[in-house]
Amino acid sequence: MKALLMKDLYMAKKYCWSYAIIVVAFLAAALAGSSSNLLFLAYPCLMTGMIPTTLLAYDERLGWTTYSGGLPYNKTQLVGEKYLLGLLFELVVLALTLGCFVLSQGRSGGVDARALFGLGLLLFAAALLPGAVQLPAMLLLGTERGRIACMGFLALLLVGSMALSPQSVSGVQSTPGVTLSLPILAGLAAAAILLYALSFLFSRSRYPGKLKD
Amino acid sequence: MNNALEIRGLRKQFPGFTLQDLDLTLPQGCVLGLVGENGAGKSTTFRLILGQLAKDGGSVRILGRDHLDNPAAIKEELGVVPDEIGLPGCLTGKQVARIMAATFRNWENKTFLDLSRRLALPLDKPVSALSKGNRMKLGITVALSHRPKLLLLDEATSGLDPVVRDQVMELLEDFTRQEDHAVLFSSHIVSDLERICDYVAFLHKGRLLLCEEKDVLLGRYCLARGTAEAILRLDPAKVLHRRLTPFGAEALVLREQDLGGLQTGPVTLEELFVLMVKEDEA
Repeated sequence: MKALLMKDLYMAKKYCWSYAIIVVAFLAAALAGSSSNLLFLAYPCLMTGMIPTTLLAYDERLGWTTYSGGLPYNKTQLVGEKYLLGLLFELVVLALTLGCFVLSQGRSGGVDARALFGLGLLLFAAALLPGAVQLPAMLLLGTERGRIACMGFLALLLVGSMALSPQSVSGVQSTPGVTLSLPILAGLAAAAILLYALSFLFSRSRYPGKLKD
Repeated sequence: MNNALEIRGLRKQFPGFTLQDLDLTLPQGCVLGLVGENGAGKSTTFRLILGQLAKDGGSVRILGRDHLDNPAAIKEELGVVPDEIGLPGCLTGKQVARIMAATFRNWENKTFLDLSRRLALPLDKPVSALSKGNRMKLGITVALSHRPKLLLLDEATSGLDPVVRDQVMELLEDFTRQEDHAVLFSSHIVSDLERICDYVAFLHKGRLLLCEEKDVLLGRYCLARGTAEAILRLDPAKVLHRRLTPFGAEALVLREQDLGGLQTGPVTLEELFVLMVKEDEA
């Protein structure tokens, strides 16, 4: 697992640096605004969830998927490493995002701990979903079909977020972290963790799926 | 002598291609060359051995163990070199070494560095900046740096220039000096196989034409040349293939017969393979 993580970190440094720029740009925009903007705060977390699948696409294109079949990795390591990597990146970006939210709120007069916690739960849940949906699709079907699944997911998310919080981006008071009660948000986060875990178990049990033939 | 690799009745069916009941035995201390045209089933065989493809039937035993019985442990003792080294292009040789040190329990960085020096492999360059020959050298260096007992080389010398191929051959000759080491080496460059193989297997359209000790095989057959009449007089049961041209005729024949006044010469593996394939298709 350590070897696979090391390989993917080297690859992320080379192939995913644009993600870092976008994260910084969006968080800077969130900070520069007069109040917190859910879109600017949520987008870096959602986008970071795509890093493992981006690396998976490189793996497939560069022949690593085949080459690693001759190395002493088991299915749990090959599949689990992508999920672990996604989680690690998510946690780092979530911490940065919440840091920006705190700074932004601090400028507006004070930090609302309840809003911070609520937003953290919501973003954490939302950030796990792209990986939970895309990773099984890409691990089992290949990157092209996985990308189609990703687009479908983003469309659903867009429709869902519009229905959930139509006026969400105007400021702190309208963030779902405040609009929705904490138990519901905690439930959402727990459901996302469960979905992520089930996604891993499903991917591991079926890997390499269609890629095998 | 124990067998490093035993394949019995291995089968795999795809639409339009079937690998049929493949039997191969590779004793320890030996090199088995798998010869076949493109699409003969060589890479499929390798992927089945590694468990990358699900077999439809048969068995594969590597170093005495079923290949699906804890494959990660088995692969600790394998050095695998596919035709395309699928190392990410952004990695340098040094980074590859760090990753492999965390991958293999028996990784020997000194061996890696020694082999890299011997092959003049630039370790600071990213894989994407290496020539095909250097990428293959890196793949072979990785495969040899964790004390493997069995090397699986799938078209590892295809596309390499003669100098690099010679270097690779020298490495393999060194590797097989230890009697518990073995190599399964597929290629359609038969001269490479002729140089280092102890056993040779011919694969054609998913079917094993033969699997024999190389010297026995080359000793059993010869090429007979003469007039068409003289060639046609030979016992058909002892003729593998005839080729009649306006300028004369030749036949691949068993040595164990009276060849009359025919001119005979040794047969190379390449000629043997080509003529056997032709006979099979006739």
